[in-house]
Amino acid sequence: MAVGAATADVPVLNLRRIFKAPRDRVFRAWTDPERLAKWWGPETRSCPFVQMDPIPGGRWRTCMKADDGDEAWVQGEYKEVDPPKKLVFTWAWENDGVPGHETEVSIDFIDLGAETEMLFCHRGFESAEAARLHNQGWDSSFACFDAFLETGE
Amino acid sequence: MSADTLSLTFSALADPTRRAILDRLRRGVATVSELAEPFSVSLPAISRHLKVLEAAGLIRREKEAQWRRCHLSADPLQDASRWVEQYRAFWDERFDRLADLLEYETD
Repeated sequence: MAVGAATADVPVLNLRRIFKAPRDRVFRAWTDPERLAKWWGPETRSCPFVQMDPIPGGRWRTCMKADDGDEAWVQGEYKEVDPPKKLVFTWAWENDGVPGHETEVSIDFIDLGAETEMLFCHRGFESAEAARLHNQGWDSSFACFDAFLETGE
Repeated sequence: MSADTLSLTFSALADPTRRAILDRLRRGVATVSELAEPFSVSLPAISRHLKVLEAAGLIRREKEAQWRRCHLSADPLQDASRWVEQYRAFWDERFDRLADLLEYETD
């Protein structure tokens, strides 16, 4: 059911799922903040913030809380919103509140009557990411000694 | 993937420092100090992040006595495949929960 492929520097993830619900309910699970919060985090009650404006050009932003308490903020912009058939939005993790490298999610919802097929695609851009980081100048060349590190643990 | 592995993968992706460490390692091997340099956190804090990434199978660390270097677990030529693997685990976990919610909610 899961297929991954990459051409050149662009990794693409394709996933396909069949959900036991009609299409409009599946679409609403993605575009209604209260519904999204119920499945978005790693477990129940771990999605403390959801904000979304599901129209083309509208923004969205969520917080996911990991098991160890770390918070992961992610935001993006809706590119296509065609209920209940199609949803396209950008996805950018935040670093200290600033959105970083942007990737794109594209979802098609296929009507199977009482069920819905979801064709999900997440497209990333590795080479652009590498270029961005290089420009931040992360090269440094002093090393550390293992003993120093071990005493800190 | 087991549920524990999925949580570990999520934990690796969810933290901005860990994501940055993975991104840095895609450009090549690095020592712990090199990884720590862009951040204003201590080396022991970086070590904690590296442990999470190592437990998730995303990096490996050399065992040589004085110089400890970190590598991505994947061949660098497989960067894109690694990205796909990470996000597949991440999304599969979300969609499992979505499937349960859609099947059992009544409204």
